[in-house]
Amino acid sequence: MRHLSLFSLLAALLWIVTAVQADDPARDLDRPGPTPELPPQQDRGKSQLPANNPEGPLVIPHRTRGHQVDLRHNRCMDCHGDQAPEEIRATPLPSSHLRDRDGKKHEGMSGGRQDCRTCHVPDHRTGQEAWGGH
Amino acid sequence: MRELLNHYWKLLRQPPVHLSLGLLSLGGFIMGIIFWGGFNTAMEYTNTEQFCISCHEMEDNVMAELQHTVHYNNRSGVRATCSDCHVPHEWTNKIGRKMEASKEVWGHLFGTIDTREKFEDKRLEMAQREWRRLKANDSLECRNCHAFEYMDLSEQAPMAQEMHHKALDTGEGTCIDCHKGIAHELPDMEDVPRWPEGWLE
Ligand code: HEC
Ligand code: HEC
Ligand code: HEC
Ligand code: HEC
Ligand code: HEC
Repeated sequence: MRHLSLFSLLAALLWIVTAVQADDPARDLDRPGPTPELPPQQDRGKSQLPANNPEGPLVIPHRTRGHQVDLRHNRCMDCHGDQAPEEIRATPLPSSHLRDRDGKKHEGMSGGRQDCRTCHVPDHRTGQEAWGGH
Repeated sequence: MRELLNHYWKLLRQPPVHLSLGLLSLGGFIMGIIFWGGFNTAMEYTNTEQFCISCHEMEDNVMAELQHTVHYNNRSGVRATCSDCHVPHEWTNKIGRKMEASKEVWGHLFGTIDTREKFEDKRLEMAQREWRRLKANDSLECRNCHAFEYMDLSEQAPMAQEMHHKALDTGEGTCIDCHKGIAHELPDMEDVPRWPEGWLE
């Protein structure tokens, strides 16, 4: 009898785990999601793309070929920094990027954010369709 | 020996007796062609990439970097060589740049940039010289291959379109104002404007 209840407990657990997993979008990684549509250009200062995951790093909707990112120069900041010209209309760095992991605010970008492409990856579908990149 | 030399020296200083003026001028003409040709061939040779990277300073740094860029490897297979971007086409400017380059040969002999560290230390200074030159000639070397007139802006990325439209409309800004580091790695750009001056409030 004890064996039986242990067995059904395990079975129930297994069922719960699979049910939860079936709902997990991470399991569908191979299936392409909908391509975000780019609304007409809006004000600089607000993201122009819908985020798949509001908490996560946004995909890069343009090509990054040849963009130098190292200790000497960070090409991303030429457009996403506060020195960029109005016409570029790139979303400026969010304030989260100026804080370190202890929440302390820094003058410039915090050290852990320097190498943008550890978190942000180019999305070639949006890149191709919305921003004409390769 | 001395006498023999003296004899020939005199002979040389005498006005020609046996040769006609026509033959002489023809001779001079032919020699001229040979020298001129030789000079230009030598000039041509110094324009080849093989020559440019015959010193390791160039091969290990800028050439290695160029190889990762669109100007070395791209879908259309058209590529730019060192002299396309660094040597003016017009003859007087070309000679000017070559005279400048002879100073660079000294640099090579004295090892001014013979390690990666020394190269990096000097990079900003060297880059600034090229930016000044391209700024002064309205990016002539870029425009030998690229021309706004023949660019289909509608095929370009939206931000490229907008920037190019504005540059065309205002007449402000030349290619190198916005496209620094197109062929090599950039030095610390802290104090270098990345966009045309006057565009930023
Ligand atoms: C030539 C200018 C330019 C450069 C250089 C550039 N970007 Fe962008 N970036 C843009 C524009 C324009 C957009 C689209 C507008 C927007 O949403 O910010 C954009 C969008 C983005 C977005 C999406 C932002 C959002 O709010 O949806 C990310 C993330 C991003 N870029 C990251 C990068 C990274 C990382 C680099 C360096 C590897 C980089 N960018 C270099 C111009 C640039
Ligand atoms: C440690 C991971 C990480 C790094 C490194 C990083 N980002 Fe982000 N980034 C994020 C996350 C997560 C978000 C979304 C949440 C937020 O706004 O903080 C984001 C948001 C953004 C946005 C959109 C802001 C908005 O308002 O929509 C831009 C633009 C951006 N990052 C640019 C950059 C650039 C440029 C760099 C390099 C200098 C960089 N990021 C480095 C994780 C990172
Ligand atoms: C010998 C001809 C030649 C010269 C000189 C030249 N380019 Fe290019 N350029 C090309 C070719 C070819 C391509 C690649 C076309 C393609 O995408 O297939 C290119 C691509 C580019 C791109 C697009 C980059 C990308 O990632 O797609 C830029 C920007 C550019 N050139 C700027 C310049 C600038 C600035 C100069 C002057 C310093 C210059 N070019 C000089 C031939 C040249
Ligand atoms: C005011 C700034 C500005 C000027 C001036 C400018 N460009 Fe650009 N150009 C840009 C930006 C921004 C982009 C897009 C982002 C990138 O690729 O870095 C771009 C993109 C390009 C591209 C790639 C286009 C694509 O969509 O594939 C080429 C080629 C190019 N530029 C060549 C030139 C040449 C040649 C000149 C001079 C005749 C020039 N640009 C002048 C800002 C400028
Ligand atoms: C597409 C144009 C282009 C080509 C091809 C090119 N260069 Fe350059 N070069 C530049 C520009 C523009 C600069 C100014 C600095 C910058 O913007 O990166 C420069 C700078 C330099 C510098 C100064 C140091 C530095 O990194 O700024 C040297 C040395 C140099 N080039 C050598 C070469 C040699 C050698 C070759 C051939 C292997 C070559 N270049 C091919 C455009 C080009």
